[in-house]
Amino acid sequence: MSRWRTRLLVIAPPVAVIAATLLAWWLVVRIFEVPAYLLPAPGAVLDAAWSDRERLGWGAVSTAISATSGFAVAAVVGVTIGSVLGLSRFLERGFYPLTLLLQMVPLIALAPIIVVWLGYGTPAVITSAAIVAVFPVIANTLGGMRSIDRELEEVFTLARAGAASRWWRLRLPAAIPSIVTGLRIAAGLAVIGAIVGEFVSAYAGPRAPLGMVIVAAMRDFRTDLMFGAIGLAAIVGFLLFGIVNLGGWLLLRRWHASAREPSR
Amino acid sequence: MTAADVGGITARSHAAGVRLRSLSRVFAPGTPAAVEALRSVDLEVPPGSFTALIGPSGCGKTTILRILAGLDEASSGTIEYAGGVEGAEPRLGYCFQEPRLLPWRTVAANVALPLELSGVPKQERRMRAATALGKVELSGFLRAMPAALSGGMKMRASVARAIVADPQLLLLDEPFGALDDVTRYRLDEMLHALWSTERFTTLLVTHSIPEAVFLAERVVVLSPRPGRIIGEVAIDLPERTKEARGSDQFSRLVQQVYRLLLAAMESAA
Repeated sequence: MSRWRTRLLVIAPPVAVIAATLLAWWLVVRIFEVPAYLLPAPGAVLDAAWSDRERLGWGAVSTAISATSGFAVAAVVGVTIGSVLGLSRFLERGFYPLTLLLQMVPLIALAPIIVVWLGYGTPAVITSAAIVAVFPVIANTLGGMRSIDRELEEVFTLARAGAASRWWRLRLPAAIPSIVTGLRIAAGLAVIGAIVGEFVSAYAGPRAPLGMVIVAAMRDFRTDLMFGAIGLAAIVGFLLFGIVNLGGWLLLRRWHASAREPSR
Repeated sequence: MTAADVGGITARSHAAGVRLRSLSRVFAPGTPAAVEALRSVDLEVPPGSFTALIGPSGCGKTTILRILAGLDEASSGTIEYAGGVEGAEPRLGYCFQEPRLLPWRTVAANVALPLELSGVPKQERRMRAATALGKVELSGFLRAMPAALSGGMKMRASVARAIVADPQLLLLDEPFGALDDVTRYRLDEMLHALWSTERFTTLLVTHSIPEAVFLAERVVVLSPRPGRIIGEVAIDLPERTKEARGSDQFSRLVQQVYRLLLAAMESAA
């Protein structure tokens, strides 16, 4: 019984806040008689989403595939670059400022250039997602590699372990918690990168991705459809984030405090 | 040099003998922050013997072990090995003050790490790790993660890792210092049983006089910094059991070490 009570106490507050937000939204539209092209009521958004369900469904699938692929590329490339930089102080000093500098570039502004390089279509969208998502992975991987426990390092020194062995058996596993943190951030960013990529590089059509649906709906003053597409994009991001979280938990649950304590 | 040259004791053929000659260590020499940790330490450790190093905090006890293990370098002086040592260095086992287990590895994989790093095949590694864990009475915890173990169990796993490669020289740096007395006494008894059967040449650094007396054949007393050897007490206990801790002889030896240590600290002050 008390178990259910604690569960209820965990679930009830966010549900209540979301319900209150929807109610406030509905009231604002109702009381101020906001025109639908500016802000449609929640019910109107649901109606529009349902009647355009096929278009939105395909859009969501397409965006999810691009975001996931971009995330995967960012994960592999980011962990590789971060851990190679972590191999030597020399490499790190050379390249880390550059990666910081690149992080300051509004990556979203790169999207048109990506179209110039790769042409219209999915590869450009995936690239856009990957570029936006890769930096937190690099930074967190490198951060994890740098914060090595000297005491554990000595266990390897005792055995006269070589650099490769230290890297594989000590640095990389020790960096996993912070790599997982980087991947969590990257999951959300990948969806943003994919949508922006779609704004500039995707084709319109019956199976156009969500970014394109939003652009097309904007031209048609279909604000309800835009909200539907935005909501779906958020769900795609949420799912990707959830999968990464689950993966991280599976990796860390047996040894790391972050996975053993109950989430709050 | 043979075993007999160093200690006159015929030990298990693989145990190492060690001779330190005027070993000194100065940290940050030539700077205002220079610290003289060790001054001209001469010490002979016969193969198969158990020697305890005792002294006040900061007297360089740990530094001696770290130099022997290659974690630190002497400023001057030499180390010679004898006994069954082939080549320049003996096979070492080292146990830190903390367990220092890799949290992402199972207990067995942690214990097997030194073997893994020296290229022992997986099957053999597993077998030897299981054997070492058996010796420290952790057979039921091969697949446990370190986080699931108590402090005493982690330390036992750490001891298992130190002995898994069948060391010729076992260096123990206050391994049980952070544990409660009951656990500590139990682990001391375990360690004694282990040493009695395996006869690793053992050097134990400790703060605890009763622990030194209970475990060692010889207790070497160091002065406050800079650490010098100022005396030693031969421990001729006929047996080392729970009951022996209460014997008159035990208390007399503890007193003897205590007085030596006290004299060392007073002479420095």
